Amino acid sequence: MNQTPTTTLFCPAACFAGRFTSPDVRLQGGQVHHVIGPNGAGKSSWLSLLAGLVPDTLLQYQYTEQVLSSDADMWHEVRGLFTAHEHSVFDITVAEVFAFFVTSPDGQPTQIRPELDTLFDVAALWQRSVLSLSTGQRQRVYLARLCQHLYPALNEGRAVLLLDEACTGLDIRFAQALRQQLQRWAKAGNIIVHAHHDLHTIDPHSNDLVYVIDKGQIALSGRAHELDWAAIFPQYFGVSAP
Amino acid sequence: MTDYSKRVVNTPKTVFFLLFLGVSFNLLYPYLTLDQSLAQHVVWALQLPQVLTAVFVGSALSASAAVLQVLLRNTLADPGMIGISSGASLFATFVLLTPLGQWQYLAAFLPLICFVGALCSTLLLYVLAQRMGFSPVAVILAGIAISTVFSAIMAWCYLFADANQLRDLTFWLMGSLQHTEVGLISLVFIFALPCVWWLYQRSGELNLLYLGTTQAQLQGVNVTHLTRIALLVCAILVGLSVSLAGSIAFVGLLVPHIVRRWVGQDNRQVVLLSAVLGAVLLLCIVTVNTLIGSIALPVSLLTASIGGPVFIYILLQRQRRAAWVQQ
Repeated sequence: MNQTPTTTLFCPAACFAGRFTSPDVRLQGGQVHHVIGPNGAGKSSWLSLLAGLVPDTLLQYQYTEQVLSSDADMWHEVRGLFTAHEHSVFDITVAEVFAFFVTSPDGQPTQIRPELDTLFDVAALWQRSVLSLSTGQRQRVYLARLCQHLYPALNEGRAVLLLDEACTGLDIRFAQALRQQLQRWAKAGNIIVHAHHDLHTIDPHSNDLVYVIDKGQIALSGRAHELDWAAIFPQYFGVSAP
Repeated sequence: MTDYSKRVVNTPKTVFFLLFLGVSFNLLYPYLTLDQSLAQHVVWALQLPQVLTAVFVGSALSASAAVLQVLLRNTLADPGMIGISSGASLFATFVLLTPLGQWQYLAAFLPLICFVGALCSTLLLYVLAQRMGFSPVAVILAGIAISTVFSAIMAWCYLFADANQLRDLTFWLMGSLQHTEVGLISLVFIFALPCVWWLYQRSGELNLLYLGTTQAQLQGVNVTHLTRIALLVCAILVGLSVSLAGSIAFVGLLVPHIVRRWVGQDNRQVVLLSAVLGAVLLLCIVTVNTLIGSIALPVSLLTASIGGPVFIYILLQRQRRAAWVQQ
């Protein structure tokens, strides 16, 4: 039987700026990894750690025969991190965002891929300055840019896509389409880690992995269908389970 | 780039042509108005040093400002904002307002003293910014603090200066392109060329800073290293400029704004064209002085007088465009 090779990411135990302490963690592609927790729990810090942004913490990435550590040049081609607070103070156009941040193999001006435009609908914004866009439009542009940067890796199932509140601020149709696409990319073997507050979007019967972050550490983790959601809601979020 | 700008100017070619025109006019004009031997003397002793100074100072201030704006994520950043020029001005003040001001070799050593001043203020900037985490905001705040303190020290010095010393200092602070000679400028070019080359080589990496340090790091840029080296290179270029021509206002702020409006935000073009347009702008000042002949107008007087209204016009245009886009 022809099996899809699985992408693996190993992050050794580390501490990020005193805000988050992580044990050894090994993430595998195949399902979406949901990172949830109250504000200030350390979700974004953990994503920074997984992105290899913490000095002196070398991650190990493996895809079939390919083994990389996070100081390798190719690491930047397979890993991407979206953070909701990234923005430019300069009057750059959407076209320039793509031109600067997406490597075009033939050196030609980068155009948005049709399948990503279907997902994010940014071609119509192409000549507009990012400063003139609404929060949601800007978020779509930055998400599309990131996905286009990782597209070759995403297509082959060897990408590590880290998202920090990617759906917050998006129109419901874009948010829904993105969640469905993340599931497809995860099933293709990519490692998809999504930190968010939309607990209602996690299917409690699914195989998705859930990490509950609290007070700067991973308080709980497991498959969505294995977790005791009735206890998680009151214990970590102060509300009763819906 | 707007259609209007495209029609009016094919920017790179036009700017390089203007540079060629400015250099040629200022070097050939004496031959049109004076007899051959006198013209030759005027060109070698006056026009060539002025033209070379204008080209270097305009390029250095504008290219540095273009880099600093991206590095500090502040569209209003210029070399004056981070205190580099004020270090040079303070050292010039010390020299010009003390008995050292009467020293016969002052003209030869003042540029060196100003350069040391610029480097000292940069060192101070590093130390202060480092203690505040070396973020863009930390660098700007440290720069403003240094400028304020240095300005205060200079103001105290004014209190104890006599009228002649004050006049010398005031003219120095207003900038001049006429106080150099070819040997000194050649020396400056030797120091500056590697810096300019470095800035040009790394200008592509600056594009990755547009979305913040995290995204640049994710693309493999060592942001801290890039920031430190780029700040040092800018400090050297600005220090050399101030030591040659004194404190020149507004060029650094104005030129990158114009270039960005014309060619967009790609720093591989912005840094290069800012350097060339900055040179063209100061060559215009040389041209005005060449045509007037009898009196050399202080450079900052002209750059601020022309640059101020032009800058207001650009800001209003930008606001109008933003309003149009949002409709």
